[in-house]
Amino acid sequence: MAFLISTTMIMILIAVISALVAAIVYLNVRFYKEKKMFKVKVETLQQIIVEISQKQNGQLGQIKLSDELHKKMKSVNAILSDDVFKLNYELFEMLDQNNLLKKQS
Amino acid sequence: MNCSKCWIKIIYLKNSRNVRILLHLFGEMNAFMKKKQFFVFLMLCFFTKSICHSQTISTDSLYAVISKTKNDSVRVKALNKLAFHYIFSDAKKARNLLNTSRKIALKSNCIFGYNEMVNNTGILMDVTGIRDSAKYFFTQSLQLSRKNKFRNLEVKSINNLGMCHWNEGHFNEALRFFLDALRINEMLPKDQQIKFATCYNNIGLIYQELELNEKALEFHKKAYELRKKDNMLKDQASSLNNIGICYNSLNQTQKAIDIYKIGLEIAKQSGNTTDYLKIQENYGNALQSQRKYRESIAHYDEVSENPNSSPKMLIGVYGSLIAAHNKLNETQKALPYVNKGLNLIKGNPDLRLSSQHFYQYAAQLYYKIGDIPKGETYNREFIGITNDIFSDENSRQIADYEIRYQTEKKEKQLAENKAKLLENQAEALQKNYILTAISVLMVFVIAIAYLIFRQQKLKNSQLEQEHKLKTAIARIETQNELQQQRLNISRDLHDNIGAQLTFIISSVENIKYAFDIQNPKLDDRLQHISSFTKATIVELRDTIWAMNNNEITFDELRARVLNFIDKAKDATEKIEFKFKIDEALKNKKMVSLVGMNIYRTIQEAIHNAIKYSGATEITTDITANENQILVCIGDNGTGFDPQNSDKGNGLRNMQKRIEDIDGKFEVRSDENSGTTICFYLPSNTLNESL
Repeated sequence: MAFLISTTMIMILIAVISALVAAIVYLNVRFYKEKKMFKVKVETLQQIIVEISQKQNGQLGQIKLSDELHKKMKSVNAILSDDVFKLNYELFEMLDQNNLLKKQS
Repeated sequence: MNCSKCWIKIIYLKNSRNVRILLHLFGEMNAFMKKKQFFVFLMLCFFTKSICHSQTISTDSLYAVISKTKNDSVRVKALNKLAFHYIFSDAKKARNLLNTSRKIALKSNCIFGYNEMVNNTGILMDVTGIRDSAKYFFTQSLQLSRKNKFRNLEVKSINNLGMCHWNEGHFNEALRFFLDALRINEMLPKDQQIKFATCYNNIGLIYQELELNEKALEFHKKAYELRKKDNMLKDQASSLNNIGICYNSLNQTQKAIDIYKIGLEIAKQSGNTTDYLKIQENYGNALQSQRKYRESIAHYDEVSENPNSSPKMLIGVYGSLIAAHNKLNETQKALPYVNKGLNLIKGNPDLRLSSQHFYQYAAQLYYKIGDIPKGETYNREFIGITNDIFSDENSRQIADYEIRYQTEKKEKQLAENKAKLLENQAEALQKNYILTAISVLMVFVIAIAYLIFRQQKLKNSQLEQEHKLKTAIARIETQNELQQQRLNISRDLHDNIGAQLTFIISSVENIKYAFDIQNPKLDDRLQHISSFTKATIVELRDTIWAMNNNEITFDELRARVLNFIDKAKDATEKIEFKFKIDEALKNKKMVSLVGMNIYRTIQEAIHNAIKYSGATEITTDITANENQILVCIGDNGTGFDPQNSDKGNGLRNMQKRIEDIDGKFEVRSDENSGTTICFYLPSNTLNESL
């Protein structure tokens, strides 16, 4: 009887230990698999970041160009305004010399 | 069955350098006349071959050694041997010799001799019937031999303790000691061993006492085989007698008779009269068991006619002869044995208890011949002796039962204790196993818990990292969208500005076309507005072109520069323009900001050369090596001293543009030797920007 009990106990123990070993192996395998999968995922995300960063850099360059153009247009505006003012002034001067200006009543 | 048992006890064995073995043999004859009635102890001493040899050595020589030798250990040995010699004949002398031996051994610190002396004292005590003292001395001897590792003395002491227990009727204890002695004897070197046959013989006799005849037979056979091997004829006869008794007790009378026949031959051949007579008597008893009365008489006669037969043996044999003649109805032949027996009993009154069956058969004889009074007399004697024996035997049996009961009780207790101990051990072992198993399981569980924790931790860190990355992506995308919207708005604005500038140019051109403007000042003003607006539109288109492309290739840049040069050519026909670009660069891409800055710098440099240098040739070279791209715009004009002259806005702007895109700006110029503007762009910067 005692022999039977001890044999049964040994069998149960072996079964439990086997199950635990299997669990350990499974957990380890899953751990490394998940690590690998995550690495791939992170690489993809990093690639996306690189790409959109490049796009952002391009856009920044374009914005810079736009800003420069904006400044240029401001100076152009000033020059053109000055030119138009001077043109008008000269036109009025010329009209005045020729007494072509309307008299206010 | 008229059977007699005989067993031999070896109580002392001794080795010397000459390998002399002294064996003292107690012959204890236990006569069973039909029924076990009483035990009579007879002391018989006889010696084996070596004993015979030793017997011839005169005690005088031992005395001579004792008186002459100066070596105390030799003297102690000689004294011990001499004392042993006298133990069975002169106990007082033996005691004195042992006392002397003890004094010398203690004085000279002769441990072995002292140990031997203690053992001999035990034998003396046993022989003189002081059993408790004997046991004490044997125990002392055993302790001493064990302490000093005198293994042969240890065997002898254990054997002697076995003898003590046997004498006290503690057969199990005796058997245990004999088996121990046998076991230790087996481990001794051959020259120190006592005879194995003796050990087997003793064990066989103990089994006979315990009525385990099959077991006894096994050991007697072993003893016989060894004695046969050693050619010890006298002892062979003794073993054969014992084997015969065992067969007879197992009701294998024919086998017993066959053995007795061989035994008789050997006893005769070796001159072992004692065993010869015992075997003859036992042979007769075996034949009577087979109802061969006539044949048995011959064997009994052999014993009765032998002068060496002991009185006790003779009484038994006379009784057996009367019984045999009675069975054969030869009453007249039986009568002389009655007279012989009566005379013997008269001469040896201590044999009365052994004469029970003699009187029984004598009574039967007289009844048979019709002498009733004599028959009655002998019958009364028989009944009287039987009663005496019974009372004696009863008390013996009660004592024996008491001893057995106590022994069994102790054995039972011992067995229970042993069982309990074993149970405890088993329980402890089981607990240990369980503890070990639990520990192993705990280790595994901890390992699994750690693995789960590690996995969870990894998952959390992965989630956190993923979240951070996604957040970063979302943030960048949001920024990109915002930037995109801003760019879209800018494009719309620039489109409107372009349209307005075109409207201005168109209006100015219409005014100039519709009116004949004589005023040169006004005409110049209009012309300035028109050309300025056109230049602005060109610049606006260039910028819009750069803004609409994320990337610009050097080929596209080349086309732009060539377009600009063509326009410049139209303006100044005197200047020859040369433009070269490395073929390897044609498909290289750069971000629009870099492309635009390069384009503007080239444009500015060419513009400056046209405007200020008075050059006849302007060259533009774009080359590349592994590390950098080199752009050089040179002219053969007047040149200037870059150290002394102030850098104008144009040069500063060019330098700023190049430094903004991580390039290096350089102006090389000497008066009257032209000007060269070079800038270096690192290839990796260009690549990184892509």
